[in-house]
Amino acid sequence: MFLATHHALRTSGACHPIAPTAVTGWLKTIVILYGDYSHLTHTEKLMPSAALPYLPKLPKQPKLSKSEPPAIRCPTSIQYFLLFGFLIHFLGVLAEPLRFFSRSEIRTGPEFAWLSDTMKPYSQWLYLNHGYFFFAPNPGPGHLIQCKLSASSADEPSGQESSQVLLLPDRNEHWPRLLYHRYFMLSEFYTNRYAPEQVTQELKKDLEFMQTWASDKELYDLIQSSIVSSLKHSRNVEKVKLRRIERLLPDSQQVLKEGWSLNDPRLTSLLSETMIEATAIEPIDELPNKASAGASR
Amino acid sequence: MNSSITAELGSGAETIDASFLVALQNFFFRPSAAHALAVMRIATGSMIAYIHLVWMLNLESFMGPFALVNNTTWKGLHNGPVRDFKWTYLAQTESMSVIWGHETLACLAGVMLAVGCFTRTFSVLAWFTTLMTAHRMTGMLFGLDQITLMLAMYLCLPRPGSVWSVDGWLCRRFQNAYGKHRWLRIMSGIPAMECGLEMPACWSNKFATRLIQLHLCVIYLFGGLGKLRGEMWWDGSAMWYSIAAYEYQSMDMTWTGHFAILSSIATHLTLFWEVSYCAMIWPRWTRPWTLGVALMVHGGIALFLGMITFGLMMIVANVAFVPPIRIQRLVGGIRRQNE
Repeated sequence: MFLATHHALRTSGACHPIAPTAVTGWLKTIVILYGDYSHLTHTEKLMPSAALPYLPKLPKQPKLSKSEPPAIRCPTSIQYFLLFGFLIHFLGVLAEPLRFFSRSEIRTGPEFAWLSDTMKPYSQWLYLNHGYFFFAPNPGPGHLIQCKLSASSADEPSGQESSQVLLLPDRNEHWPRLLYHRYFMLSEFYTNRYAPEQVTQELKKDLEFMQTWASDKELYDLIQSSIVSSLKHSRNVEKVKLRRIERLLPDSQQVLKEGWSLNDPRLTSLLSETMIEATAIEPIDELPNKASAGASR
Repeated sequence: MNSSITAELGSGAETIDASFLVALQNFFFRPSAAHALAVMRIATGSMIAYIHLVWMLNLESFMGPFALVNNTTWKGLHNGPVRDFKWTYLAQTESMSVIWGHETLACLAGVMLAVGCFTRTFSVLAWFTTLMTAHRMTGMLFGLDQITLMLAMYLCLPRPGSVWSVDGWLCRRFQNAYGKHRWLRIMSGIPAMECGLEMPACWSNKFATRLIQLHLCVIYLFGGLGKLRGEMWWDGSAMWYSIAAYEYQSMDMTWTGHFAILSSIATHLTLFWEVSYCAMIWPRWTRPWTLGVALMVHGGIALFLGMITFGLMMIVANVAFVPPIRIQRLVGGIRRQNE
């Protein structure tokens, strides 16, 4: 069937006998995309057969009616290159969400993993590698960074350490809204990158886990020290202590019947930095203020 | 006998091939006007300028030696055991002069893209500088950056500067100069033959529009599939929990909790609309409804969930599905009303 179709196409004269190199074809495509259109006819004359071999000739587009404005058309020979380019690009767009969605706790769909790895240089550099998980799978709790900033005790006349608390993000301080959102994303990123300071004895026996934990911990520490040194510089303080805070989402009963506000202190809790104390989550009366455990540098 | 079968098969294959190819050709390459792309150009250019202005409000905290995520951390995140291709020159320098220069240039490119001055040149520049910034700002990006960069990238291909632009005006005013000087035509991306035309049509406008449309379908499809995995989108409570997130809230909408059924219907409508967008947006009779829901959903995100920039850019991306002639008539009608 294929051979018959192939033969028919060959004998019908619908194929281009000359095959220019892919590089020449792409260069011509770029010329058409970015070139000077006053020479379009000339360019078209130069490449009457700039299509790949064994592909049927694309038919010429019908003329537009007289009422339609004059139009610039794509030379038919270039259309194959553009369609091929589109196919590659579209695979680049699809690669990451397909890999993301085919991932389970056991493995990732091998064909999508391969596609994603192959397209990675393209999709990653062009910033196309997204899973598009907007408010999915479920709307979740918000995460904040509470920063306790302490000035040097020598600067204080009483000799006591003065401190202030900064929240990332803070609606009152971070304006316009886009700036607030940048800080909000940073606090979510910081929480996502969390690696516990210590792990349980049982987990220490798992060598593979320990290897992953060690590299995650290294990165988490790196991010933490980076935020700390930035705040030290921008706020001109000696000591910065970071704490991760989680704000849970209230249900409609709590808000409408019991009168809780969306920023009710009962919804916020301090997240532990170590796995061992993970069960003891301390409620926070007011934001930003009291909390005991945390990371400091 | 054999030869007649081959001939029949051959002619059948050619017919199928030809009709498919004509459809494909019309879909991707039929020349179209640039009015929808011009709307996207103005919005994307303005948003790029705004994004960089906001970075500049606190630039020392975002880039340079005292950044919240400094270069050492950036390299730790991107140069790990798994190879990363997010290269940006902004992660290689700590010079604040270079960083300020880059951000100023990006902001300027955004403005030039919005007004359509030397559109071709500045569309590429606006996209590239924003991409470099996005790669540097690991951990601080969200949907807005994805959509803005997607639109900016596709706007490098067509001729969105041929209408409602400084280029278009200059081209009409100095038609002879555009005919003579090739650099003017290259910088603006407007050929001499398009000068003075009210509705210049070009295949690259259609091609870029199709790329935006198909990319948008992928975004909605996977966005919807992601939501299908969550039980809150099925039990109808996702809308409540979205508006109950204090960090997102920009307007108190908790009163909607009194109307649990309406809130649940809105949740399910969002879910089914998002999953079916890639199919419902193409037929002519379902398109206006699909676009209408898009306007409501993204308008809601912009007004009530504190992401006005993201909501706005999603609405702008949906303009790709509005025929250019409709936009031209709409703007023409508004102009006539004002006169």
